[in-house]
Order: sequence, then C-alpha cells, then structure tokens
Amino acid sequence: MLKVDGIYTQYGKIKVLNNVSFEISAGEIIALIGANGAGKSTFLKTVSGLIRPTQGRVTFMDRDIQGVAPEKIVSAGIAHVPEGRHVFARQTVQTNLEIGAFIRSDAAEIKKDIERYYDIFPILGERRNQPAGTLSGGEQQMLAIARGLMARPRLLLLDEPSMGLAPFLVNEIFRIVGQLHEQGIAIVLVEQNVKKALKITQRAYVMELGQILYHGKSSDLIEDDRVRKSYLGET
Amino acid sequence: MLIEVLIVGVMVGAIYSLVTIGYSMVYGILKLMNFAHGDVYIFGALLCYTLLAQFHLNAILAVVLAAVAGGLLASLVEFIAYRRLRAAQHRMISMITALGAAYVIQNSSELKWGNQVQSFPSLFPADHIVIMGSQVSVTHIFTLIIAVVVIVAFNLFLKYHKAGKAILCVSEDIPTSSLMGIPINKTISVVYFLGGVFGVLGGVLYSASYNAISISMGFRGTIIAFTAAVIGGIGSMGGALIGGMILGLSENLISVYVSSSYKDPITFLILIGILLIRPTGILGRTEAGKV
Repeated sequence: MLKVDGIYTQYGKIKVLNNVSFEISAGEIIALIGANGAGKSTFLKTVSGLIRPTQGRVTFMDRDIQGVAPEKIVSAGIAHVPEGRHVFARQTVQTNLEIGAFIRSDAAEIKKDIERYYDIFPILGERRNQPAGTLSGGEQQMLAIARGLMARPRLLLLDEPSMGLAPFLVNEIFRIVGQLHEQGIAIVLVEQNVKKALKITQRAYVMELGQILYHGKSSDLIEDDRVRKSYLGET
Repeated sequence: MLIEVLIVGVMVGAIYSLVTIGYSMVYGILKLMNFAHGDVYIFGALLCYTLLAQFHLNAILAVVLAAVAGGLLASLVEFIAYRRLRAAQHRMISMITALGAAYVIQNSSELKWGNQVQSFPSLFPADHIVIMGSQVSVTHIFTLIIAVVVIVAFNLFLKYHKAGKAILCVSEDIPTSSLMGIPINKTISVVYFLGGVFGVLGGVLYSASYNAISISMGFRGTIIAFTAAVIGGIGSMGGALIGGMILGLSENLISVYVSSSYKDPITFLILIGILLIRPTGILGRTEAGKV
C-alpha cells in the first residue's frame, strides 16, 4: 500500500534521513522504533508531506506522493497524528473533530462518525463544547487520534501516542490502537514504549541515525539481542 | 452633546474595528506586520470615490466593486511579496517586503489621485434624527449599523462555517492544519482578501461620514489598525473589536472635551497604559514558546 524507496531528507544543511526504505501493506500494523533523534518523526513527516525528500520515491496505492502537499496526501488516504498531539487548543473538541473531516463533504456521515468517537471516548463527548486546550494530556491524545480518524484514512501514522501519559492511559491508548488495526486500518506506530509496541504490531523497523538498521517480525525482534540490549534495557 | 459624541465615537470605533480585523487576522496567521494594510484600504476608498464622483455609479455597486478590488489587491500583495518568504527564517525579511509593497501602492495611488484632500460624496441622506434630545446624523447611524452587521456576520462565519473554522485552525497551527487537508495557501489568500474587503469598507464608511478623503489616510489607517490591534491583543478577533472601540471613543471624547490636537498623544498614552498593565493587550494571549 505504502512504499518508500530510498528517501533522503535534510533540514537546511543537516541531513536527517539517509536512504530509508519502508513498506506497509493494507491492514498491516508496523512499529517504527529507535532512539530520540533517529529520524522517526522526520520519516512520518516525509510520508505525510510536511517535509519534502531531497531524493527517493514515496508511492501510496500506486501513486507517487513525494513532494505532494500534505493537504492532498490526506485526501489520498493517509492521516498523520503528530507528536505532541497538536490539537487546536482554542477550538472546541467538536470543532477539532469537524476539522479532522475537512476533506469530506458527507455531513450526515461526519455527524455519525463524531458520535461514534464520543462513544469510544466518552470523556470527549462530555467535553465536546470545551476548548481542546483545557483537556488533559491523555484526553488531548485521544482527541488527536479521533481527529485523525475523522478523515477515514486507509493508513494512520501515529507519532508517540503514549508520550507523557499516565500508565493506565498508556494501556488504554495501546488497546485503542489494537482495535483500530482490527478494523482494517493500516498503522505505522512510532513509539518509545518499545515492548508494548512490539507486542501489538506485526512487523517492526529499527532506525538509528537516519537509517533503517534492520526490520523483521515483531515477535522475532522482541527476542532479538540487539533490540533487547538497546531498546528494552535488558542484558 | 454627550449622546452625539458617544454615537460618533461608537461609529468611528466600529469603523476602526472593521479596519483592524483584517490587520489582526493577518498577524494571527503569519505573525506579519502588514504595513500595506492602510494603503490597500485607501486605494479601495479612492477607487470608490472615482466610481461615485466621476462615473456616477450606484452607491452599493461602487462600494462592492471597490471592496472587491481592495480584496484582490491585498491577496495580490500576499502572493507577490509575502508567500515565498513564509519559510524565511526571519520575520524581518517579510516585514521589509511589506514596507516595500506599502510604498508601491501608496505612490501608485498618489500618481493617480494626487495628495489633495478631496470631497467624498455622501452615501446616505443628509437627515438628522433626534435621540434623547440630541440631533444625530442619519449617516452616522447607517454607518454604525453597516459596520456592526459586517463584523457580526464575519464572526458568525468564523464560528459556524467550515471555511471560517479552517481559518481559525490555520491561525493556530499551520502544519497541523495542512495535515487536516486544509489548503493553506488558499486559506491565506482568502484571509488577505477579506482583510482588504473589510479595510476598504471601513475606509469608504469613514470617508463618507466625514465627506473627505486623501492619500494620507492610508498610513494613518495602518497606524490605527496597529494600535487598536495591540490594545485589544494582536491576533484576537474580539481584541480587534475592543481595540477599535477604545480608539474611536477616546479620539472623539478627547477631540470634543479636551482638544483635537491632544487626540493622538492621549490615545498613545492609553496604549502605553494598557500595555503596562497587560503587555499582551486586553484579550491577548501569551505566545507559548515554540521548541
């Protein structure tokens, strides 16, 4: 479904991604792990169009999308839930969800979807008329995920959805990510919480210094010595 | 007397709010001091003057044409002078092109219309009505009503229309807005267009209620928009309204009860006073530092 072929990116003169290739099939769930600064967020931003690669190809459903504006990439079916949530703090919860459906014009279905996410995340329903900035971190994360889903994407890019959340909320977020996968949405999950990420994903890519070091089945990687040493803190 | 002064003050305040909305909105989205704002609005108002005085066009048609022309000019300025610089590291760079755009528009307008004060035709009947014992000009009442209706309509648009909500989201966070599928360049063009339209409307209403227009009102317009926006809290819609009102009322009260030559100094004292108490303006938010 998404195929990334040898991309390079840079911020000014600083090279970030260095010959990164990546592939995800429809309905698959993949973890992207690596230390801070490895280039995971940059990778997601390159896929969603926020950053232009200097070289390489990105194809989504047989269409070249490298260098395409992010607003067009959403319409193609990729939703990116950015790191740090980035909800529209001054707009209400309801407006945030409506804006998530900006590319759609089926008003009745949009309404239904919003109600559906209020069912899945009851706290958002309770606070629908509150500015999103007044929500707690966990609530904002749920809002950011729901807002991303409002575009009805085929591929969801999740950047650090559990960052800064209380442990019980972390479990809740992982449970929701698992459910989304069961509904057939393909997911790329960037996570610091490597163990949990490997448990709910099918495959994983390990990134370091802007390169993919290795990739494989998540169930194999969780036993892999390199992963255990570097990312699971085991010896 | 007081009633009359208050009504004129509120009317001028509503006009200033109209002029400030566009200015503040642009700042809210791009963090750019749009120096060309006043020059765009005086261009539109002068165009309206020509359509009315020389071509004897119907008043509504003339105002609409002039407002649209001003709106197009504002988005043209954005396209030529600001768009490509949006990614530039220093805001100072687009501030300089903004100044450049202001000079180009100002001097072109001066070439066409000269720098004399010209008499602007009235848009409304020259009647008076009596409110609580004071004579109030119908022009002032109509001007006030039009300004308020436009401001209210625009706020309803921002709050309830999809495109309006998109504008608010873009002004909060451009990259995230693009991830939602909001076309950023188009939205910014629309914001400039609307800012130009409201500016021209304000300029026309102001010129018509004082029956006078001159090129120098352009620069003054930019200063007023800047001052009102800063008093109210730059980037904030409500702030633009409050700031415009404070300026309009204080100017008129001071002109009548103190002296019109103290109008500007006292206005700026108010600005300084408000900023001492609330550095971000009355409704201003403190900018969260970006990492």
